[in-house]
Amino acid sequence: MLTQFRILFRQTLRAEFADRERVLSPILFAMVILVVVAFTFGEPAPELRPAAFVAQVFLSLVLATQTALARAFDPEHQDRAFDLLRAAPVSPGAIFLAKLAVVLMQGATILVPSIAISALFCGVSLPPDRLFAFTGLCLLTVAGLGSLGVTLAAMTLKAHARTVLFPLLYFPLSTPLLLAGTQGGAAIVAPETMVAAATMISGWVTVSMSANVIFLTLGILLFGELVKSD
Amino acid sequence: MPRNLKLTGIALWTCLLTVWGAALAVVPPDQNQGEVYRIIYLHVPSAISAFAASLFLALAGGAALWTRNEKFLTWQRALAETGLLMTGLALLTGSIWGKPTWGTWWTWDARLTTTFLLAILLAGYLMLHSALPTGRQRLAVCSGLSIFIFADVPIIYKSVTWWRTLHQPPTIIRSGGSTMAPEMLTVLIAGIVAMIAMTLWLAWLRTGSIELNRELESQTGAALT
Repeated sequence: MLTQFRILFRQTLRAEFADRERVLSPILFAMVILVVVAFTFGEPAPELRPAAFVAQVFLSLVLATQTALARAFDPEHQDRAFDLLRAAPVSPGAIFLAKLAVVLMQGATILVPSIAISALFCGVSLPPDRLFAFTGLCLLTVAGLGSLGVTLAAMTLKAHARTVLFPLLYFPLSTPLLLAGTQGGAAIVAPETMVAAATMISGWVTVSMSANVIFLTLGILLFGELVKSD
Repeated sequence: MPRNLKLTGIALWTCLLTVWGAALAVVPPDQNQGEVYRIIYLHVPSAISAFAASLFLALAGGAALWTRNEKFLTWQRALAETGLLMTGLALLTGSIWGKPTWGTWWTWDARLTTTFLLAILLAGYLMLHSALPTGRQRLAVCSGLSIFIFADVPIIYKSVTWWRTLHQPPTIIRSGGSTMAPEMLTVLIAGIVAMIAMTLWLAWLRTGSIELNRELESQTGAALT
């Protein structure tokens, strides 16, 4: 399975990066969201800056990853790649993990500029330990959103009104990840010491990790069934 | 309607009407809220029935994936519809209760918001069910989604302990025992059991018409619902 994953990952990555618009548009969309939010709300009051920073990062992250995830299987669908893969002895779990790995890379490319620009707009300056902890929590959220989004993208692949159905299911189901991300992120960024907020942070990390495990397990188990033809 | 289904329905409606009668006439008023609290005998059973419907929906999803039997997909659709009905009833009665006690029909409280999300998910499930062509893939997709939806239930349940909310914390299942008076609790538990049974009966009733619809779909080859 590992060899299959490696080959499929390379192939998916190549297919994804062959079209520059597919890679760049979610990043640009995230930047547009940040600019619009900053322009609309102006500079937040000093006591609201940490919360505004976390809100801006997660808002841009969730909306931008949604646009990337909703069309995650468009190249495979257009090229009828699933029909060909079904005839080949390839593990569906490997296809799922390869797509998830590419989505994670895309999420990371959205996340890094989002954090930098939000910090700039909100006037937040984080010490390295908090910055690493916050980035780690964001990546954990991206991983969960990726597992959920890839599964939902496969689920809605053949549905009519796919563009409406995907966000309708994606946003409510991503609630545990978003809550854990925003609440945990706020605890990391808050002016209190990390030690004082440690219990709260570890609680939210546990919620996020539990959601990750559930979504990843369900995704791997169900993916094969979702892409099978009738 | 089959005879056993009709008899079960009559028995369940009798139970439910008896419980509501007791809730209105036998159980004493609440010390703080007076008479208005009596809506809990409709609100709490419908909310717990919505959770139960989500659990049965996930179980039907698992069974459908395991056996590939279309009958479980029919049950899933019926349970999603009754679950949505119960979630709507819980939100409606909660809103009616909220006006005199909180002073507002609606607030973006954690419990209310997560329950509203459950309603959206169930509606989303029904939309996806209708949007997919009949066949093996619809069975797999809908069954998978039904399992995902159940993941929302523990969050709704824990929301009142995770956040400071307007909604009251758990009063029935909590460490140190229930805070309700025994006569109130007995009627409430009877109401919960009757309402869960009613949810299942409604789903059972609905499966008949869905089966009929599915037969028509297979004959015409187009989705009718």
